[in-house]
Amino acid sequence: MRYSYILPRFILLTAIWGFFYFAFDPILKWSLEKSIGKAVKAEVEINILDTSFLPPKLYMAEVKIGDGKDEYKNLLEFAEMKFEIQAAPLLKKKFIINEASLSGLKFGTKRTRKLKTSEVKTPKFVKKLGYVSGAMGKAGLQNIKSGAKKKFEINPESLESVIFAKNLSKKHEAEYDALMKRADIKTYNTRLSELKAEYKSAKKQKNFLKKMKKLKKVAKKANRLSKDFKKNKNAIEKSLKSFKEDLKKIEELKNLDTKNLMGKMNMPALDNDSISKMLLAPAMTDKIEKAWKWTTLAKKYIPENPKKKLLKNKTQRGRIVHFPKLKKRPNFLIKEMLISGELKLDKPLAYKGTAKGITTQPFIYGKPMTIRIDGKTESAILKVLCSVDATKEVSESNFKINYSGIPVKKMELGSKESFGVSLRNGTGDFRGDFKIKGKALSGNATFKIKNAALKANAENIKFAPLKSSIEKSISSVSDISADIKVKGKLNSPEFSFKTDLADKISAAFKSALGDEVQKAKKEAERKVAEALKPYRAKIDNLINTRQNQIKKELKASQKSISDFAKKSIK
Amino acid sequence: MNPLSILRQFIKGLVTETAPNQMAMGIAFGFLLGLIPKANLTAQLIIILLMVLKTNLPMALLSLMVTSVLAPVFDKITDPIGYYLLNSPALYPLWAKLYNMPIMPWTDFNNTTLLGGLILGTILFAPAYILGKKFGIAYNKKFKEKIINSKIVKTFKQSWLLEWYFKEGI
Repeated sequence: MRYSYILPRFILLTAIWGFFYFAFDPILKWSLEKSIGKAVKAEVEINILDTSFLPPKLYMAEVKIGDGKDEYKNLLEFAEMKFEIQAAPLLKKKFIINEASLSGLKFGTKRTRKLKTSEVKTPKFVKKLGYVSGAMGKAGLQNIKSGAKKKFEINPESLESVIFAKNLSKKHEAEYDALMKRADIKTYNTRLSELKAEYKSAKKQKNFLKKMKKLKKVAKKANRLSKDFKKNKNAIEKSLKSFKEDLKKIEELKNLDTKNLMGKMNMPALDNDSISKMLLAPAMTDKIEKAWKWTTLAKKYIPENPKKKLLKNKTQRGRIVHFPKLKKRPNFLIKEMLISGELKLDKPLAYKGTAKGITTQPFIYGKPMTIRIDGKTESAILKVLCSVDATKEVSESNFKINYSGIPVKKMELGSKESFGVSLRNGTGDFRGDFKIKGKALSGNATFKIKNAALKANAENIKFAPLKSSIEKSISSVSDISADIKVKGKLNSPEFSFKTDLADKISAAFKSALGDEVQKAKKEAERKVAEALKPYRAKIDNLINTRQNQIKKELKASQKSISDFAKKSIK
Repeated sequence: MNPLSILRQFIKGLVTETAPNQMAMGIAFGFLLGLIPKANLTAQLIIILLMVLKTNLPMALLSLMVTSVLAPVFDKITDPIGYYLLNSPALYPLWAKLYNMPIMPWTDFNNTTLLGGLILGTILFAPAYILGKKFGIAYNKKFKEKIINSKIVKTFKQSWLLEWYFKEGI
C-alpha cells in the first residue's frame, strides 16, 4: 500500500468535505447577511441557514431585515424560506427553482436588540412633501389674528418666481442666439452653393444621358438638404414651444409666492390643495418613503428594457462576454413562490398568496412576474395584485391594492406645530392603483374612513373665533375621504393630495375671517405681480421679438432651399 | 484545515520543502493564481493542483499576495488580451460550445481578466519558475538557517501542545 500517495489525497478530500460540512453554511450566511444588508442599507440577521448539495436545497429561518432609520424596528421579517434548486441547470450556472416557500412574512415589526442604523438619505421629493407653504405651514396659524398684517416689505430677490424669471430671461437670450444661428440660411450656404455649381455644370453637359444622370444626382442631394433643413426646423420650433412651457412654471411659482406672502400677512391660503397637503402629507410621508424605497430597490433588479443587461459589470475584475445559449434559461428563476404572513396594523390580518416568475432575466423567461396576495378576517378583506412585465421594450408594472374594513383605532392628521385632526375608532377602505412604465410613475389611491370620532387639535390657534369655528366644523364629521395622486418620474415623483375634510376647514376659515383672506390674497398677488413685472416684460418681449425673427429667418431659409429644390427637380 | 494546521504547513514549508524547484513551483503557481479572479472554478482547480503537487506553499501564498496587490496593474494587460480572444471570430465556435457545456460556465472562462490572466500566467509561468528557482537557491544559502534558528520556529517546535497535537512534529 502506497500510503505516501493515498494519505495527502485523503487529507485533501477530507479538508474539502470538512469545508462544505462545517464552514460553507456560516460563510454563506455571513455573505447573504452582508449582501442583503448592502442592498437594503440596513442590518440583516439570519438565525438559521442550512444547505444541502444532493439535492441542492436552501433553508433559511428567523430572518430579520432591520430598518435603517429605526434601531428598534425591522423593515420586515420572515419565519422560514425554503427552496430546491434544479440540479441539471445548476451545472450550467443557472439557478432554477420550481417551487419556493416564504412563510411568516411580517412588516414593520418591533425588536428588542438594538440595530445598527445607517445614515439613510431622505430623497428630495420626500423633503418637499413635508413642506407646506404660507400660513398653513409651521407655526403659521398661531399668529393669525383678527385681520391681515397690512404693513410688510418684500424683497423681490427672495421671490421664487422672480429668481426663476431672472434666470429664464438669461437662458432664453442665450438660447435664442443659438437658435437664430441654426435657423440662418448661412448654415446651408456651402451645401447650397456646391449644389448650385453642380446644377450649372449638369446643365452645361451636352451628352443627354450624362446630363440626366448628373441632374438626378443634384435633385437627390437637394432633396436630402431639404430633409435636413426640415428636421432642423422642427427641432427649432419644438424648442420655441418649450419656451412657452417655461411660462407655466412662472405662474406656478407665482401662486406659491402668493401663498408664502399670505403667510407673512398672517393669513392662510384657503385652497383645498394647501389644506389637504397640510393634513395628509405628515401622515403619508413615512409610508410614501418606504413604498418608494422598496419600489426603487425592486426596480434595480428589473431591467428597464430587454436589451439592458442586468447587473452588468458587477464582477470586481474584468468584463463578462456572453454567447448565445442553445437552450435559453434565465440565470435566476423562481417559477413559483408560496407566500404567507401577517399584516400588523391595528388588528393583525393573516394573508397568503403566490409570486410567479421571479427572475433576473425576464426577457429570456418571456413571462411577466405576478404576485397575488389575499387575506381575510371577519371584517377586513385584502387583495393585492401586482404584475411586472419586463419582457417588452419598455418595462411595465401594475400594482393594485384593495383593502377594505381596515380597523382604524387611532390616526393623526396635520401637524402639531400648526393644527391637526385626531381620528378614533373608524373603519377604513383603501384602494390603490399604480403603474410604472419605464421610468414614468402614475397612479392614485383613495382612503375612506367611516364612522370615526374626529377631534380638532387646534390648541396652537390663538385667534379664538377661528379656533372655535374649526373645532365646530370638525366635530360634526364622521366620514372622510382622502385621495392621493402620483405622477412624474420614479426618481422624482410628484404627489397631490385632496380630502373632503379640507373643504370643511376652508369653510371654517372663511366664516371666522370673513373677506379678510380674499383681501390679503389680492394684496399678495398684487405685490408678487409688481415684483415680477420687469422680468416678465423682458421675457414677453424676447418671445415677441426674437421668436418672430427666428420664424422669419426660418421662412426665408425654407424659401431659398425649396426654390432651389424645385428648380433642380424640374 | 484548522488555523493551527495552516500555521504548521506554513512553517513546515519554510523549513522543510525548500528545494529550489519546489519553491519555484510555488512562486509560479502563486503568480498564476494572483493574475485571475478567485471566485470561480478555475481558481479552485489551480488551488487543488497547488496542494496536490509537492510545491512550497508559503512561497505560493507570498507570490499570490504580491500578484493580487498588483492585480489592478496586471488587469490592464490581461483584460484586453481576454477581450480580444473572447471576441475573436475564429474562436467564437469554441467559446459558444464551452458556454453551452455543463460545468464550464462555473469556470468563468468568459471573464476577460480570467482568460487573459490564464494566458499571460501560462506564458510567464516558465520565466516565473526560473526566477523562483534562482530565489530558492539564494534562500537556501542565506535565509534557511536563519529561519530554522529563529525564535518563532524554535518556540513553535518546542511547544508541548503542538508536539502532542501533531505527534510527528515539524
